Amino acid sequence: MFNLKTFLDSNLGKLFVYKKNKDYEFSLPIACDFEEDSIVNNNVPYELELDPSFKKVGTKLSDNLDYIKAKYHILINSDIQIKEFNILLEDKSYSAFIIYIDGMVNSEIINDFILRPLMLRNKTNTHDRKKDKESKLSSFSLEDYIINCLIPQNRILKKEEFNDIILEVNGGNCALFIDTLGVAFTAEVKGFKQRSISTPSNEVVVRGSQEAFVESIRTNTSILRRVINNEDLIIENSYVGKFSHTAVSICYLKNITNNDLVAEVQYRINNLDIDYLISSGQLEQLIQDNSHSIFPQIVATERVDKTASHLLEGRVVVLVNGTPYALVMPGVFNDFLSSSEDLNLKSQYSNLIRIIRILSAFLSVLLPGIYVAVTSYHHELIPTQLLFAIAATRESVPFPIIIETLIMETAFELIREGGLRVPSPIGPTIGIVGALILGEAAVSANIVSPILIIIVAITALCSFTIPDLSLNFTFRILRFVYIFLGFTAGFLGLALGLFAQLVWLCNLTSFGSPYLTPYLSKATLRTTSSLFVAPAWKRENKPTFLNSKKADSQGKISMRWKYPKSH
Amino acid sequence: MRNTIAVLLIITVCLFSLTGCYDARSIETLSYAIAIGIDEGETNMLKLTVQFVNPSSMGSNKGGSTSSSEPTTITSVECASLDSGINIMNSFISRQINLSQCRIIVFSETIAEKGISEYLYTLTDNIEIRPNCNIVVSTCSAEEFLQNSEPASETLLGKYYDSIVNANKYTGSTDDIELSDFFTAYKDTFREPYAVLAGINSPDTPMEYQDASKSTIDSGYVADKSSVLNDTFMQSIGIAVFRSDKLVGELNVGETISHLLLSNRLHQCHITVPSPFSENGIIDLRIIPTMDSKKEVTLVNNTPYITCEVFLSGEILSSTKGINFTENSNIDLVESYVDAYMEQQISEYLYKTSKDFKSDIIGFGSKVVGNYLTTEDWVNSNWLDNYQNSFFDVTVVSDIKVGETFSKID
Amino acid sequence: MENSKMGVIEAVFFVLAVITNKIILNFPKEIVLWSGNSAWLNVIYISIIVGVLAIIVCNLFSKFGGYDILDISHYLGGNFLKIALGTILIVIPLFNSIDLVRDFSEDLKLIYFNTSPLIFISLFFVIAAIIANKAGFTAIFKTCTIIMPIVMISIVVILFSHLKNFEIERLLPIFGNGVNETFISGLSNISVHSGFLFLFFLMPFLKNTEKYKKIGIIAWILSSLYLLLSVLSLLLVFASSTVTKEPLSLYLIVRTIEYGTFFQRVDALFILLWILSTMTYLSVLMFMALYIFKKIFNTEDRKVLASCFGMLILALSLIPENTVILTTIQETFFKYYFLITIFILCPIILYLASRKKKKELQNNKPITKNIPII
Repeated sequence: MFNLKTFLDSNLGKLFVYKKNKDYEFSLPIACDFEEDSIVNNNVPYELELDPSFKKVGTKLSDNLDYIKAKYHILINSDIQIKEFNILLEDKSYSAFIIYIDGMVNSEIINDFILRPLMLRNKTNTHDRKKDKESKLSSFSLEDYIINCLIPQNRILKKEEFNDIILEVNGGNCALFIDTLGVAFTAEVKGFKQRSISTPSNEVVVRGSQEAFVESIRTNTSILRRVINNEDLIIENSYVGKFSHTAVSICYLKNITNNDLVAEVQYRINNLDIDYLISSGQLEQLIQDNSHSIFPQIVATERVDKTASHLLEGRVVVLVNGTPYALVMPGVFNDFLSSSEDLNLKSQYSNLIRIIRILSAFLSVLLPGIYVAVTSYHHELIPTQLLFAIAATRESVPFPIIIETLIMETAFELIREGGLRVPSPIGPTIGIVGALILGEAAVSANIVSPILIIIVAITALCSFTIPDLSLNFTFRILRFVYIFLGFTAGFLGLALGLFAQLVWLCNLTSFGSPYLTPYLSKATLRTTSSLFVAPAWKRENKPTFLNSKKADSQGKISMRWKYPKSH
Repeated sequence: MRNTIAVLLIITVCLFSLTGCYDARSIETLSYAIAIGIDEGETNMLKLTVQFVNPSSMGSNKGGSTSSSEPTTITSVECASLDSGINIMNSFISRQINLSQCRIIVFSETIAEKGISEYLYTLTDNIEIRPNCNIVVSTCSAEEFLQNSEPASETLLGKYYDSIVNANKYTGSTDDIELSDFFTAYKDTFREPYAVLAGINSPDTPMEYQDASKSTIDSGYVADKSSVLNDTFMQSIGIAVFRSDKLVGELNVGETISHLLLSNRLHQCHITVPSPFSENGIIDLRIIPTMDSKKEVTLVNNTPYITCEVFLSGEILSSTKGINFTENSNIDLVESYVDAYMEQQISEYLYKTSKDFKSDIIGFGSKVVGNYLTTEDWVNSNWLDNYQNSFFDVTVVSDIKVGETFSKID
Repeated sequence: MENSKMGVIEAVFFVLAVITNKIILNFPKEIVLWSGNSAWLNVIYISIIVGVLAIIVCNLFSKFGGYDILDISHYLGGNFLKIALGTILIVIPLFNSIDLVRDFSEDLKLIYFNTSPLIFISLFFVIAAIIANKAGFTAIFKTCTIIMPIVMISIVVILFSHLKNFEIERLLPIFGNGVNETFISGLSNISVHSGFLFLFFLMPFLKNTEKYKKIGIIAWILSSLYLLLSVLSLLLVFASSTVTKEPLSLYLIVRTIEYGTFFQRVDALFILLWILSTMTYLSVLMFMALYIFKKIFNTEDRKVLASCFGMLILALSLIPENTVILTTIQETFFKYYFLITIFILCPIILYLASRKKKKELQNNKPITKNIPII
């Protein structure tokens, strides 16, 4: 019997009741939940058990193999390669394995210079034990034999600690484990792809080297060595980050750089409790003197020649693996206003540029603020004709000056950021569209006055002349501060801002050097880091604030050919 | 860090709520006065006339159509004082009046004769008014003066007012007297103030020379009675002489040149002297002072005896036909003639100031002041009253040169 | 810690901050009001007297290398004298700063901020001083070294801009308002050199204490020169009776400066510089007050006290109903207070202390270990 009631009960609900599809939801469990999960995860078969007490290489190969496999999560990690094989030595055969990371090594080297000599039995490889006996060697050492005779490699190291071995393997080398030996060997077989040295893209100069740093730290140190070309150049290595073990090189000239400066840099870098370090930008923030300051206190540059000349002055350079930027410390205010080209050009030319840069630094910070202050409070400062011209253009603008200025400045910042973030083919177009069309349209729509467009454009131009990216940001922030101060109390507000900024700058130090150094101290002009550039034959002294071990950098008379008798 | 942000926030909020930006005055909300005229009032103490600029008329001419609005607006009120006048104007002009761009302050002759010290104090005490705006005494009423001052070649009125006074740098027709100069001279114990004399000239006003005997010489003009035959226009020629704060007389162009020469304020000027060679001929000269004039004052029985020495160099600009200027004797003749002429001019001017006006506008008093030890003694000696008893001795040393271009033409 | 000590140039500008601000604010006006056309003579006269005093003080001080006047008074008369002298001296920077804040704010109010409340304008100065004092001494003297030269150059620029209007005759009659006003009662104008007070406290802050004498003399020469120049520039351009009515002494001159027909009113730019210089001066004064306070009460942290002192100065400066009261107090009481404390009391204490030291040396006694180590 067809039971209507039951039919309706069972199906009507489905027919007329709307049931929402359940949305897919995913949320990360918070940390304490995660711990419980991880206990569960430990039971998953592909996680191998790790013996935490196992720190040194054992004599039993299988133990080592198990440890390495567990350490590298070999079951889920795809690019870790472990190759097991046997070494044939005379009549004996030792089992062994090598571990390397695929893609980071040059497999030809591994094949030709590690596996081939170990695995193939040939004349050159055979060990003549009688000869050993004749030379009265007390005992045969397999370790030495392998290092000395078997592997034709320039850099082969004996390691006992697993941590060291793992560091080497992570860096692109391979590790060789042999049964019965309590040590492992690591060999230099790096062969990963990296960017080749190219021209500097962000610090462009006309007269000067066209070499820039790359991501690989070894390449960078090699370029530095090539330029400095002196055995006193010390490149100390250090690792930062408990997790990432990022290689950091501290470079300085042993006979020039102040010992305390080097020690301070080492002290700061070695006392960082961080998990990982990706770029030198992060390191810069971690080791600068005043953490809250908006002024950059360490020079970051991609130019090799600039880095080298700073090194030769007696500064310390820090290279971070993975970043094509070198950090130069200490960095004082003047360094951020100077370009590496300044030293290459004739002093007259570069001083002209210096003056323009100092002027534009002032303008890029203060111009909009001054405009707001003058047009709101100090009308009499504007010459009559100009005043009427400004008044006429402001007639039809509905906004008060402060709003107008903020609109335009914000628009400009938008254009700038927009142009930077879009894919490069459209980048320039954004700039043109933004600057030309927006400006023109804003003026004809009576949203802003043409004078303000000029002000904003000049400010923008000025800020582009600042060679350093960080200082540029500083000025962009300060510009808005000054606009507000100028609006609040005219020149009184600006004066407060200037005074506070000056006090701030005076109080800043960078690795013990006062930030405003060449401006305040009696520093001689005859250095490479003075306020104005001295001619090439007058750069006799090292910058005084560095307190270098060597006070002079050239003879009193550098051009001996001209004054041969006077020395 | 959180603390810093909180402090910053509080400061920002305070600053903005405290001010409401009390004194921020946007440019376009103000009405800029370019000239102030002060007349005697009919019903009240004074009549204040202010000339405003319409910025829209001088801004960019958008779309090619030149705006039809007048470049300036002139408003007059009857009021008791300057400040109350400005206040009254503020009530019916939509924008706040700002005096910071004011270029000239015009006093009418009638009010200047009664004394202007009260207004002077108000004007100098006003922070907005620039101390370098010119003080002008107009021969007509100030209102009429401002209404008729329309620039001929300048589009910007402010510039126009500047340029008419600056013209004295090459005409020597008046002096660039600013408010601060005038006020300092007024407060000084050894000099009297003077102002720019200006007037409205129209073809209707008759040409009139002050001295009929020298009818061929152009230096007799005074403001509003000169020989320009064009439209109505404003002209600044001559100097208005004050004694203390009261107008006592006017100087014509010739006398102004003498005054500028003596007070070392002349840049260059043109003079016309009767020719020594022919009866009705004239010679045009450009004269430039070569050295500062030497002035000495000696008190003989408390009567000032004043000697002046003036050094000129002159250049003959044109000459009448048939005179050979390549000959030294001719030039010497002209030189002596010019010396005598200028000496006469300057003495006439000096006696006019001392005997007619009794006003030491050059400041001979400064030469006497060293004879006294304290300010009290000096003030008691009453130099400014004593000046009228002065005797003058003027020497002019001129050095005449001839332009090469016509010296060779016979 | 080499950076936290002053070299010669820094120390000179530190002392000059006082005189420069006195010049900007009201001193030339007051002195011209006092002695009329002979103000320049008065300035030379008091400068010579101060110069003699400066040389004597420098000589006496050089025997106590590294110690300031409070340490020396402690050496001479123990804790009692130190605290008494400290209390007397702390009044000077405090009153000066109150006077400065009130006076300059009133002037600014008159010139630019007609409708703003006074506290709003004063607040800017006090905030600046607090920021500087929180940043510490190094920042203050370095800021001085940057701002003071600019301000001093601006004063010279002002003078040269008026060169064409100079009239030598305005310096006459030579004795101005009278011999008495110039030389006898005019002696009280010496209080303008109250920057002299800083010389008594400079010692511990110097890199090289042997340069103390040099600093004192350079500071004296420069401040006298500037004083003379400023008074001269006022006198040479204006009738002495005109001078007295402007809010800021030099504002009168600045207002009339014009560079060509285009830049006709640049006074706002000079005002900007002067505001900066006033802020520096206020920071210096506040630092002085805090330093003396710290010495009297043996407190450690100056920076915490900065806000308290700032607010104290702000509050006190707002108490008088108008500046006339403040000026009257200054003219009738503090002028003489400065004169007596700085130029009579302190040198006497120095002299007595040096005699005590001499005696102890003659008697071959070990020098009393009363001087606390800083």
